[in-house]
Amino acid sequence: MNRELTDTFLVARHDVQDSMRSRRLIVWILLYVCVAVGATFIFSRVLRTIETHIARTIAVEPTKETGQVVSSIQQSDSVRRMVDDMVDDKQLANQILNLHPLVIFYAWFSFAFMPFLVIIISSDTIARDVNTRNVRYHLFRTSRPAYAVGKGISSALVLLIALTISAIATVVTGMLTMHSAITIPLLTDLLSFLVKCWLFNLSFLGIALMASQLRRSPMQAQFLGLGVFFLLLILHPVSASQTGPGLARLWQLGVIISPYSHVNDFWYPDITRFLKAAVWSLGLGFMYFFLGYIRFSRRDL
Amino acid sequence: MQFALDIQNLKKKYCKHIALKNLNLQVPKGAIMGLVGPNGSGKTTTFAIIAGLLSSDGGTVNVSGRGPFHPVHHKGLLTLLPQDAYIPGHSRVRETLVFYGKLQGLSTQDASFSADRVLELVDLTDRAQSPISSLSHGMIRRIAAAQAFIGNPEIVLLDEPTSGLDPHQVARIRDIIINLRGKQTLVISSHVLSEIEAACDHIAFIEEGVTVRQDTMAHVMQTQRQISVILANTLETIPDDILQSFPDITFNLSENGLCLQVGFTESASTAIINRALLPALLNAGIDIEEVRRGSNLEAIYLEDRKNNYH
Repeated sequence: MNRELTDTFLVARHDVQDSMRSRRLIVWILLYVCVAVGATFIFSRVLRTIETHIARTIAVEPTKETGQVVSSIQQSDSVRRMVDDMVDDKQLANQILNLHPLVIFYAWFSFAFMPFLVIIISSDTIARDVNTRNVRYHLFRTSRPAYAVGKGISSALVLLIALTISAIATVVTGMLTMHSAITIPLLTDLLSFLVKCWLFNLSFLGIALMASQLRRSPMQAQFLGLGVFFLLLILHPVSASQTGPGLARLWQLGVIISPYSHVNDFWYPDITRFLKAAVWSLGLGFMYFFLGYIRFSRRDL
Repeated sequence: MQFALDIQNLKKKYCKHIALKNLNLQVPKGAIMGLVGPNGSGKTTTFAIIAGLLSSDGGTVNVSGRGPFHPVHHKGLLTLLPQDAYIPGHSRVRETLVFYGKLQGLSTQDASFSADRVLELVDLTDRAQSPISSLSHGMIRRIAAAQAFIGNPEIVLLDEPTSGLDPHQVARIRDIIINLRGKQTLVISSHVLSEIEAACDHIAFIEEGVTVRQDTMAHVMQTQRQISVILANTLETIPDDILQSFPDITFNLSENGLCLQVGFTESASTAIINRALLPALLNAGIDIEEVRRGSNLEAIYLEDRKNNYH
């Protein structure tokens, strides 16, 4: 195997082991699980309240299983037409309406809020090592690309572990609070969205690692990561709303560089859309990582 | 002569502060070179540039005749003991050393063997499985020193290797260094000049980013034509008849009155001075415990600074 690849793998493996021993991974997982469990619990309570109100309004006995009423409503023609009109896409409407409410919630929650956690947790990954000068033990032994990419791979793996455990926690909490059974379609849908959520969040991991390579202080790196995150969060809807010829077309750049512009494709069931979204997410993640690396490759350590 | 390290006109600026200005250093293969200089003279910066951690603003660094250091092209050829770098506390001692060894290009087996060897060198075999956070400051410094000897690097850079160690461990590190003479090239930066004197065969004095003197230790110690006479009893003043009998000789009595520094001109030799001076001292009732050739490095360094730099 190429020496650089071997080094990248060594750095990644050591960093994952280090995360476990330093309890960083446990903190990550706990944070994800707490957020996922808390949000799922609130979601199921809200859903239960809505269903109880609906049952009382139409003067029937509420169902024991939360989500049953919503699932039935999802299948009604009037709701289907309404969702069709809302998303303006028959295929997407069909996909949403065929998903279990818990899966819809998990996917929406993961796409909307997980990036924030990724930024908060990963933005100091490399900055911490530079700040403590721990890099001085590594970077005469291996190259800076192997080190930085190894750190990135380790963060991506840790993110996958945290997301998987939080998905399991979501299912268990959902099933316990909604009193419904775990079915194979539910699990496969959840698994599919777990992978999609991971791929989508890799673009934000790229932003976090960019900040981590640009700043020496871990706190400054976190602030920078959050700053870029909120900038892109605002830039996406603003850029998307700007249309027109000439200089106004520059706003399209804002659409392209924002990971949120590509999240919709992850909701579609077809593979082409999925691949397109995955390529965009990975591409943006790599682009942000590389922007940070340009500085890291030349900086004094 | 083949140089393990050949540094020419090295420059480095931190914002407006000039850390190195035209630093030159040639370290022969297999030499143990001591870098001596006050705080902020540029020793740590020089090490960091050699190891590729800092960029230079000018000049050249040639490592092992293969150009400037690159971790891929010089894989496993150079190691560094950084001065104040942190080793993550949750890592286990042996595991960390094996990881560093593998990163240096060693196989898992060789890295494990090497980790065990260096742990034995620094007397920490019994703490191999301990988390680094459970070790004392001195032990962590020994781990840091141990990682610099993993594998078989041609060049080892040691920045303050004995700082924070107890006298027993200082002696141990000194022995490790002395035992490597001729096998590896070592460059050591230290403020403890007695350590440098005991371990090094080459020396360079650095002042404000410039090499003011570079020579073999033997030559530096001999160029000061001086002997030290260690006295058995305290002497309050040097007898007048001694001073009058040897007008070409300079005498300096140490503050504690137990060491007489005798300086003489180039025309005289140590043997001639001993033949004439020692009987005179004995006749004056001064008991002699020991006579040493030359001076110690500390005295030479301070004298050198006073005469040539300021």
